[in-house]
Formats: sequence, structure tokens, C-alpha cells
Amino acid sequence: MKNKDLIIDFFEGNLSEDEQKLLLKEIEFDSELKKEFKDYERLYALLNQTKNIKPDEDYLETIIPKFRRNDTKKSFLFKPAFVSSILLLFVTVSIFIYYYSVNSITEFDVLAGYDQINDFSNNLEIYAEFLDNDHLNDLFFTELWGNDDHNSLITNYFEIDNNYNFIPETMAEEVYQELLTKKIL
Amino acid sequence: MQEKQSDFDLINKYLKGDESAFNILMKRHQEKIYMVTRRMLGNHLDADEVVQEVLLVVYNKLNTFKFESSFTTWLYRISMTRSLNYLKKRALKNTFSIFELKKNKSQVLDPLEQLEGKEQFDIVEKLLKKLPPKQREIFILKNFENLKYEEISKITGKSEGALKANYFHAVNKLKELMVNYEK
Repeated sequence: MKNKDLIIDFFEGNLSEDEQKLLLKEIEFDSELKKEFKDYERLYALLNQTKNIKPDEDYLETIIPKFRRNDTKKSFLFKPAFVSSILLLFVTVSIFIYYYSVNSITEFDVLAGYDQINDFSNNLEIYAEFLDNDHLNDLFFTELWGNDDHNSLITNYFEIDNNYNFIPETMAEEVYQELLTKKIL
Repeated sequence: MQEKQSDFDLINKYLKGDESAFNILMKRHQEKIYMVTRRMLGNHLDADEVVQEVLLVVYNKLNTFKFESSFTTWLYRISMTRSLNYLKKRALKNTFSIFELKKNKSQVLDPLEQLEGKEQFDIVEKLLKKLPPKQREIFILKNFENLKYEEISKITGKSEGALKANYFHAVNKLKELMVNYEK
């Protein structure tokens, strides 16, 4: 082991002239050590042959231009500011879509019900809480003076508001007469 | 005739916004980066990829360079770290796509192909591949880059004693590998 290290030191140029002479002398009388020395000698010769090898100039000329091309793309795509902006935009849009979809369902339903009174009538009590008094008022009078027979629907209006608060006082007499005519009361 | 600018001058110019200073600086060192990564990775395709990675790191991190060590030491550290990381990634990749990698490599022109001594270079490349990456790193820096243990210590963070022991192990192993290769 010690001799192996000495041989390496020899080829690395770490031995003094005297140390070199001593080692070479020892090798002369030791065939095993001599074989080892020859192996290391071949290895160092091989390594030295490849030490000064240089890549083709044409290739070296392409390194910087290639980097400049890639850098333009990467610097834009991988900048933390760019990535975080995209993420922030994505999160904002997701929250907006979620919030809008949850809340808009009831609004759309109410409006649809307002236009399509038959469908609306089936869920009147549910929709009523989303309507203000004016809307409820309009719906009631549309039904009351309409040609169709919507007696049960009109009864529903009274169930929604037992105090009939949605009927203006000025209209009370008129409404009463109509309800009698239609035999609702 | 214009005097050759030092690495530090070029770094300062680049930090002040002179992009051309970066080009000059990297052109000066690109061969060194390529040869170090090439010897670490053992083929042109991977070395070329890591060279580009090293350039990108230097470009983005040059403002953190402290002017305490030489620029070359800093560059070696980046090149070696990137090469070691790449070797880890490659080991994982090879497990899943051996055939694809082989196909790609055969299509790329090796910039060392036409040079004298390529045959010997190939043998050394094969032998180096069989060294553990960390030992290979030390061997390349010491033998091919002719760095002193003190400098290698700054690059790898290992003590000089440990480096010397590692280097001797690497030489012994290479000698054994070469003898087996010749048989």
C-alpha cells in the first residue's frame, strides 16, 4: 500500500530526486512492484494523452448564441413574478366563477319563475324570499286578473304573507271584489 | 492594442448592465466548463445540456458573487454541482427511458469526434464513468484541471486530507479498471 502511494507520488511529481532514485532502485529488485509501476506508468500515459484535448471550435461558437436563445424563453417563462401572476389570476378567476355560480342560481331561478309563471308557481314559497314586495305585488295582480284559473296559486300568495301586506290599501276593495267573483273567498 | 480585461472587470461591467461583458466572460471560460462537465457526464449530449444550465445559473446569480474567491473557483463549483445533480437525475431517468435516451444520443454530433486522441479519450471516459461521482469530481479537478488540493477544497468543501485520500483511491481504482479493460 505504501509503495503504491509512492508510485502515485512519483507520477504526480511529488517526490524529490533522492526519493525517486530510491523507489526506482527498489523496483529493480521487486518484480511485483515493477509490474505495479508499469501499470501506473501506462495509466498516466493514457491520461496525459487526453489532458489537452479540446472541443471543436465550431461547437464552442454555438454555446453563447444557444444560451441567448434559451435565456429569452426561460427568463420570461420561469420568472417568479410571471408564475405568481398566473397563479393569482387563476385563483381569482376560480373564486369568481365559484361565487358567481353559487349565488346566481337563485337569481336566475327567480327571474325564470317571474317569466314562466306556471313553473314559478310550483316553487312559489321558495322563490318568495328572494322577491321584494313590488315583485310579489306584480305577480299577485297578474294572477288575479289573468284569464287562467290560478285559484290555488293565488291562495299560495296569502300563505306567503298571512297579513296580506303586499296588497296596497288603495287596492284592497278592488282585490276583495275580484276574489269574491273568482270564488276564492 | 486594448489590454485584456480581468474577470472581475467583466463581472462589474455586466452587473452595471453591459450584456456583452457576460458574453466575453463566458466565451473565455466555456471550454473549461464543457470539458469538466463532459468528463463528469461521459457524453456530449448531457454535457451540452449542463453547460447551458451553468450559463443560466451564472447569468442569474452573478450578482451574488462576492469577489473573495477567483471567478474560476466559483465557476468550477457551479459546474460540478450541476453535473452531480444531473447525474442523479439521469440515473432516475435511465430507469424509465433507456431506449429513448440511446436514440437521441446517436443523432448528435460529438465536437470531439474528429480530434486526434479521441480513441484514448473514449477509453478514459469509460473508465471515469466507473468511478463514484464524488471521487470522479476530485480526480477531474486534480488530474485534468491541475488544481491544488487547497483550491479543490474551496470547490468541494472537503478537507485537503480527505481529498488526497480520495484522489489516491481514484487513481488506484482507475489503474485496476484499465488493467481489466486491456484484458
